Amino acid sequence: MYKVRLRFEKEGTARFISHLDLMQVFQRSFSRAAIPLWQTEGFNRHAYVSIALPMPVGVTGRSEFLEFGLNGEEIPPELTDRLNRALPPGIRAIEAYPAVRPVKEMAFGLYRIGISAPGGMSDEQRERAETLLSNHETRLIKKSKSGEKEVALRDFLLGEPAWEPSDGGLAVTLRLGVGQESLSPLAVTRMLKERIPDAKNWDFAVERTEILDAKGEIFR
Amino acid sequence: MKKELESFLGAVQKPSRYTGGEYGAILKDKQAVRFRFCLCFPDLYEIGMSHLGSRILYGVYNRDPDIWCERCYAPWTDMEAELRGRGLSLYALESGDPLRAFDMLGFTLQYELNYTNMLNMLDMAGIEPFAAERGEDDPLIVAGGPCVYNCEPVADFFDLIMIGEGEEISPALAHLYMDTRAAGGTKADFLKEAAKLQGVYVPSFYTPLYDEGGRFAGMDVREGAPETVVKTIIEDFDKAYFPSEGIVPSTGIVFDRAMVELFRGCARGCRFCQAGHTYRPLRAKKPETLMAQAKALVQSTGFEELSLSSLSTSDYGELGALCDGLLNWTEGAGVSLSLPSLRADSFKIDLMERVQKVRKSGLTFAPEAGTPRLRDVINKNLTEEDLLSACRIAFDGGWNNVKLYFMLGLPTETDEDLAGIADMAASVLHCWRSSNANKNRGVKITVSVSSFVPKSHTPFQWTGQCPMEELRRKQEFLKEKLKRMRNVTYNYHEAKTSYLEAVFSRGDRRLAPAIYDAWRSGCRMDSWDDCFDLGKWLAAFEKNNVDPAFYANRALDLSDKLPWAHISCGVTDEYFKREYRRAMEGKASPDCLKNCVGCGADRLLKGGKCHV
Repeated sequence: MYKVRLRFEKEGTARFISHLDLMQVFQRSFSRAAIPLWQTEGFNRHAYVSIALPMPVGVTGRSEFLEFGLNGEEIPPELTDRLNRALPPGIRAIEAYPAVRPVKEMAFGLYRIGISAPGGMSDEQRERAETLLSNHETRLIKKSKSGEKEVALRDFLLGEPAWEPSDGGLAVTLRLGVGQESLSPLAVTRMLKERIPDAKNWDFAVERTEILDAKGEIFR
Repeated sequence: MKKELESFLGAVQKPSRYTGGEYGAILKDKQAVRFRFCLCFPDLYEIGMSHLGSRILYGVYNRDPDIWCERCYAPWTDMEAELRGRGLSLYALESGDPLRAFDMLGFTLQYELNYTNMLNMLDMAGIEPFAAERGEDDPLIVAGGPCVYNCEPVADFFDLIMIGEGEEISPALAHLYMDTRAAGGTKADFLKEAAKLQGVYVPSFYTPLYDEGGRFAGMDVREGAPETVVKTIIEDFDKAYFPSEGIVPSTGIVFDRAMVELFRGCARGCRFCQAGHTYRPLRAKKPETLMAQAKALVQSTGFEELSLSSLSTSDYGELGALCDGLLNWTEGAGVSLSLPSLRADSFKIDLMERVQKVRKSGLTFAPEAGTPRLRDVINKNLTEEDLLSACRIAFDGGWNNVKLYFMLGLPTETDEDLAGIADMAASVLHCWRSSNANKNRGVKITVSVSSFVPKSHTPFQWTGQCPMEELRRKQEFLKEKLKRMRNVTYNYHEAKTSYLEAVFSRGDRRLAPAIYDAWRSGCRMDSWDDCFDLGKWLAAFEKNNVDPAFYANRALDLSDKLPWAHISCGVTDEYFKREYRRAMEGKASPDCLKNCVGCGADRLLKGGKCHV
């Protein structure tokens, strides 16, 4: 098997496609694009595709990764163009290249969380939001298959969150762990909603813009 | 997708049900079309997207440049709460526009227990459920699908109902509506013209009459509408439109595969089966046509499975040749074939071996009744020898999972017939033990029983349903019989849902207020066990002085007037009566591939001759 890495974008309606469903979406898109995938050996043969990092439903991904197997030794010409004609709206292949760097080197996600407060945001609320994310003692609820547990934000955060004004309110950029030691950006937005007074109707637009390695460098 | 949905979609279960944006969904410029139609499926997305008929109609409408056809499905309760809580209308998946923006909403009525979902969808769109309450500015609300053969319980909710196959009549009606409106005509003008077309039923032109005893006494027909509405059919089924493209859902659905339709109709004439009568006459596609359609569909959608669908797939004359032709390219393309609706008497092991090379999933057979006597009554011409020889071949061939479907509460059924079900399961088990199967792998035999529901347009339309308590006793009786059988799993459907189905399947117009009240009291998603609440239904019946047993359990006299008699599927009343009498005499009838039984459906074809 010739293992290829596809970098892609997932936005719009496609944000709501779940992790498991997304793999099938890709399998069928490869099939529509007439790009034969390498099939697993054994009893129940199926095309090999793998998405390294699951993303919470509803989050936009600007630079996500899919690994897939090809039978030959080279990437078919115009693979991304052909794939883009076969993908559903909202999913766009950016580039494909041999998967050299191991997936386990993916360590952090670079997230941008846009916060909009329908009734406007008070200075107190703004300060509260900033304090909650800059105070490394802040605790939040991490949800996983095995249940919920309370964790400290600092154990998952790389560097300091950066704030900027945005239309409708505020935006924050922060680096959160992915892979083994991961924290969902939705755990952060849930915490903000609960801990900031009168923030129940706030809307959060969450984007993962890059995947980073342990040093905080962009992963490819 | 509309902006306001984005903030909460992440919080509902399976949000991709509600986003649209699948590959193959059709977007058009709404300013550039003359007619906007929304296919409304009154059940969840996963169910509705699995429905082949809707896929065909979606293609039929959208290939017409004047029409944009979109889709809408019933939202699950969590999504309903979000939409209602925010004052948002139910919307179509393609444009995101509220349903009120459409010219026509077409509901497909596949199952009686979806009726409350239909009302709920209208209400969530801000549309009055009763047709009489709606005005000129409201969309036209129409229906089609199998339940329309007796649509009387819901007739008052619809402006128009299409009886039969919709490929040709649906766009024709759309154009009639466009032209009527363009000429300044009203809805009433349109309905009057539409009622002249074959297969069109305008309920408001028909007023039911009842005698002093409260029994149905016929219809008072006005506006020149026909006394009997005869269904429409596609005469040349081989040339019928079939979409070579389609929507590929971005989330798992129930039938998540490409489907081609081998033939329409069924030759068998099982007396309990409505589809077996209402889809007559039998019309098949040529293998070449099917091969071309299947290949185009698989290539354009990327589905990894292809299903050869029909009411009785093993009855397709050239099934072997068709499968060989398909396997020529599917095997190389990593596409698997599935053959649903196989009968044990025409089970061809070599075919199954070829189709399921690696994975030997379970095999399902439907003897329906436990004794030869009762199988003759229901005209299920299947012998125990047929079943056992099919099982033996299957066990020898490596299958170790067999499912057997039966019905309880069939007309003339006795405890002896129920004991016969257990005996059949024991015989199948014995067959496995004496087969060449690898015994270390074990065997799983599933006996699955449902309760008989008398349906309109069948020879059993005059029989009453067995009372609920008696159905439960029968279920327990069989449970006892099967209890000690190792390797046999027994499961059964709740009798209470079958009871409600029976109320509607032979119901009349007086049920509409009760359906409305049941929905008002919170009934919806009735086909889902965790939502179904018989208590609410019984209260709604009581409030409207409706005795559900009058509809479900009462046996009708052959001379009684039937509330659905003005709807014809082409099969004659005389045939149904003759078959009813033969059933009561315990006599089977041949299938029409062997011998024409004179059902009358051949009159629907030009020249009056079946193509069998």
